[in-house]
Amino acid sequence: MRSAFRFLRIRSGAIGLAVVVFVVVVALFGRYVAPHDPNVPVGTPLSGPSSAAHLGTDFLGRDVLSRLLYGGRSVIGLAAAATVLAYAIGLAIGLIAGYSRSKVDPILMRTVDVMLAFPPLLFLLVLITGAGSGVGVLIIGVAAIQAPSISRIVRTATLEVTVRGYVEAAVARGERAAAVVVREVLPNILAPVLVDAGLRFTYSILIIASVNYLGLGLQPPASDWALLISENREYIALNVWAVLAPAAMIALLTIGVNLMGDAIARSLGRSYVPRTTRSVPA
Amino acid sequence: MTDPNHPHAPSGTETEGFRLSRGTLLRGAAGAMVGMSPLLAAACGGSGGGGSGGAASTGGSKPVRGGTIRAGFVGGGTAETLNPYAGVTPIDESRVQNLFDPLFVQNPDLTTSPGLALEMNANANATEYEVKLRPGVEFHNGKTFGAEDLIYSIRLMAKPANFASVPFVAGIDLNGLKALSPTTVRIPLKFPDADLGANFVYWNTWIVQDGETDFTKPVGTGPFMFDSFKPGEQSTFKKNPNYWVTGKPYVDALTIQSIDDNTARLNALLNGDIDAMAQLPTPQAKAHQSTGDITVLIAPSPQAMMFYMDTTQAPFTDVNVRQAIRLIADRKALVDSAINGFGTVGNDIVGKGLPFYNTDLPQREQDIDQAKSLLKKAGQENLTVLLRTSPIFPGFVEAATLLAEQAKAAGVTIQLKQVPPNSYYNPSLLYLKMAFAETQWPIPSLKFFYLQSLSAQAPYNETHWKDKSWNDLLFKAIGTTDPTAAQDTWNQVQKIQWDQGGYLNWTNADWVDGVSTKLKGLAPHPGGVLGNYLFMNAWLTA
Amino acid sequence: MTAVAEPRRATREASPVVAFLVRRLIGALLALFVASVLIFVGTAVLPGDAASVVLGRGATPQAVHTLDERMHLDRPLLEQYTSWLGGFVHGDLGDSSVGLAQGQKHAPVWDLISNQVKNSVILALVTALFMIPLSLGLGALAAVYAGRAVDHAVSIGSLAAIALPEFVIGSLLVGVFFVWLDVLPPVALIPPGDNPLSHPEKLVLPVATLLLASLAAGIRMVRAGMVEVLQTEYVQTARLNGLAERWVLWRYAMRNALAPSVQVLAQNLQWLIGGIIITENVFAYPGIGTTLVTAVGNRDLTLVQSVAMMIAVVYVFLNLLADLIVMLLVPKLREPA
Repeated sequence: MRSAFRFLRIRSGAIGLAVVVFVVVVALFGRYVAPHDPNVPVGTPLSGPSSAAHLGTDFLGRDVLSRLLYGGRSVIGLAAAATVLAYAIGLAIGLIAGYSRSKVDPILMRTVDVMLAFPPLLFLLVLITGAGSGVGVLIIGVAAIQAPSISRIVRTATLEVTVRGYVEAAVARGERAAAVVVREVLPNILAPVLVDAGLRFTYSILIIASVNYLGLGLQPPASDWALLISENREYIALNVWAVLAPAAMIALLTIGVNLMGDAIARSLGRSYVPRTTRSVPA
Repeated sequence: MTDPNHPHAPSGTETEGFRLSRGTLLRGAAGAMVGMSPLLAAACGGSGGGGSGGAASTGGSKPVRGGTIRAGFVGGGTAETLNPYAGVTPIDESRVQNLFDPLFVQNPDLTTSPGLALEMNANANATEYEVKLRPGVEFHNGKTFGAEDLIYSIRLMAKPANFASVPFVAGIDLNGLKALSPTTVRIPLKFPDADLGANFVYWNTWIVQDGETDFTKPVGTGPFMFDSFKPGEQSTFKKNPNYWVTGKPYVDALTIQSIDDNTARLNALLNGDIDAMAQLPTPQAKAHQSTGDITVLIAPSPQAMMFYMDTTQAPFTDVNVRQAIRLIADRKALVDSAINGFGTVGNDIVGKGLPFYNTDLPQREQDIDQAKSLLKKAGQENLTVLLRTSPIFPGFVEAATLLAEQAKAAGVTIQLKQVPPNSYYNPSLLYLKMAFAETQWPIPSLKFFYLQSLSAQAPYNETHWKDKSWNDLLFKAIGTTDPTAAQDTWNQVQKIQWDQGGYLNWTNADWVDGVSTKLKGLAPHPGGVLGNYLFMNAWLTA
Repeated sequence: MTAVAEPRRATREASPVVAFLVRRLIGALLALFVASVLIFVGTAVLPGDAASVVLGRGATPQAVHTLDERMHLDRPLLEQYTSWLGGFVHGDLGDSSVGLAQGQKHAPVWDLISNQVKNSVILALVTALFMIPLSLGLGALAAVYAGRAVDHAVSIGSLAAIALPEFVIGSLLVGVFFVWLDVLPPVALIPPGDNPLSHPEKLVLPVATLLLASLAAGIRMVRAGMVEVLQTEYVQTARLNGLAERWVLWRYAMRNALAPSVQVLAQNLQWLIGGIIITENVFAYPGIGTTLVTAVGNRDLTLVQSVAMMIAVVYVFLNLLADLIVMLLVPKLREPA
């Protein structure tokens, strides 16, 4: 989709991309410039910034900066995998339900309701308590939490679009359902879905961090931004950087991804003005 | 009725601290007690965590009557209980130690004084005891405490469902329990024990009323009376106006609050929502020692924090591997980083400062070269092991992480697995099945620990130690009435553990708590947090 | 949606909505039934049980088995399920598994949690009260001034807030308003039985934390929906026709943007329940969140099941409400497929 890169013409989109690239580069390559081994204590626990540790030390005396430089890969990888999986499931369910509007719709949506009815954190608590805290469990658990709400949003957006004239026209032309969905519906729901996608990724990271807060999830001595935040959380007053630095990286990633998403949505919106024929809202 | 022999009897100046009790010191027929424990002498000298700990919380002010003390603890949700014989956590202990009384009270110097029992006298070979009970003590409902209450309590302690108390009365022959008078009880034993009194100090053996069954409205003899209880939230108590220590407690009421989150608990203290918090995280303790906005209460104690290895699971079946692991640990670094210096270095045998501790053994230090050669001898160079840890006690995860790092120097790879607290000590899940893990033991006496963790019938045999001749030696030590002979036998018992056992005791950790500057009278006590829960000694200033 | 035969206009509007409601209600009940099975099975397969938790270190398999038998915790699963669900439907949430294992004759779950439930509901409602108008207002503001400074400020501000986990936001708020400024309390310890609303200053920081953590999603969805609609032809046509900006805005844009926004808001309210667990822990607020976490750890299965079921009921009906509102807002959906 050539037009997808049009978003770069929007200034906020370009900024978003730059921020994302920065964070990803730090996550992927930061470890090669880290001043210390992230697992070795280099000073008294929770001391402030010094020449040996530019962001101070964590609760075990390890260098915060080094742990930060090592800690991006796993959290981004985990969250990305979980989010992608969530979208695969959520898009499928939402599109089918929203487009078909037949018996399939209520069945799918009631199933989604059931899954939504289970409080997410409680679901993860129970899942991890039962299945143990491995990376696979986390990915599946987070995806399972996100997929239902994605499917609802996709379904609503699909519903909105299917009542528009051009979709009805395509159906009237005799095009098959799958073709209609891919050519007419999907591109038009991209806008709200993309806006949602940016936040979804952040939610994945946040869910992981919250699970760590409750004492389950990632294992020490892993340097992982989400784990860094939760294992140093109690000591925010003693060395704020141990928490603020990884949190800032996650925040930057969120802002960047969302700016990009917004810009993509806007650029798509301009080239996909709905070709309305007779739809005037009541 | 005032008892001048009680260590908490009102005296002229209320300066608590590390003084010898003026009360009669009783330890069965063996009599004489060692004096101030060396552990506390060291602390008196100002080592360990530093400045504002110690007896600073009294500062010589005079007690003020009235008010409510509010203390915050980590909660246990609906599992919180008022049953002393089934309680486990500090919050349970806080309630029990204020509702009930023990037969013998533990003093800050680890000696004991008469509580509900005045004396415990043994026969010649320490197989039978006669307990003389304190007369004139009233329960909260007005009934007088007597022999029937003690007998009922002991029988209740022995019920299998009351798992916490069972080990303390396992040696008592229940059929022979007899009330010789309203204030005298005969207790026959199944095996000789030179010091039965020591079994009735720990909170899981405090005395309840004859007929107490479900503890929904518990009745005790203690300084506070039951008022309300919402498990997982809070419990309230009113002062006992007829407490047998006249003049105490000073305050009118006590509230025990469940606050799980450490930061929230500390914030509640800083904001004045509570007057005392148990278990102040050590980094915070260090930081607040210099600010002076709260009093940091530091109590050196024999509390043991240890790694342990299952002697029946490979590779720890080989004593060379076990000793190698013990030599890998840089204990001072562990104490400094994992618990921020709030503890003394341990030497793999527990109970430093307690009677019969083996002081002849040299302090084990880190020796990577020796560790490597031992591993080579065992054919286990480049060993990889799994260490399970849990945030159940502060310092566990930290120490495990640090040990893993230290082990690299000897070519040993320690993989960490963090496990939720509830499965860690659950024998139906993980407890007693892990090859390499951590544990914490309060150590009221050597006998307590060795019987419960290393003897042939030990209920909590974490290292799965089984050695018949060693077991015989242990029971010989417990039954020897002559103190010198007993010390000698105990030394042998400990030396064997030091040479071959599965425990890596890296520290005797301090109790570290936070107290409002308005709360006075709580003195550091090796027996437990917040001055061993002695709220009856505390008062609130304006 | 079945075709409605009669052509009379009066009922054509009403009956599809009624039909919708009826269908959805049945669907909701079905969903709740399935949820109850999932909840029950999910918690029942957890390793360990209340008896072993209560027995602590003494929980040898033998001891646990004995205690289970005495406390009737070992009845067949189906029997436990039916008696639990049967009781629940009548308002009886069952007896706490841990309470029974401790030897109590009755340990009604409701008695143990009624306070906490009330407190959590109040916290959620106060937050929702602020969240809905704030989301709509700020989202509309950002949409109207799309691309300009106000838009960027709102967008980036709310993004930064949502990127931080609740416990970080909570800790930072405490750092600013208690440690530095000392104007608000750092914990929300409400005495049992008290109405939280009588301690409003204690609610400020928890509510602020929850709001900051969740506003971004609502704002952005409202904004996105409105921006899209503002660009569509009919709005532009309306503008060209000289209709007042505000009228255009409210009449067309808001209504059409509301549909997905309502979804997100409903979802936000659901997310609130998860956020409440963390926030209550951070501020030591005596709500259902803290109780749930310890209950899972304690394997107090009946308590967890009953509370999860209660939350499920709330979720499902919130969804229903959201879908109903969407239906009312998008008239086309009322027509047969």
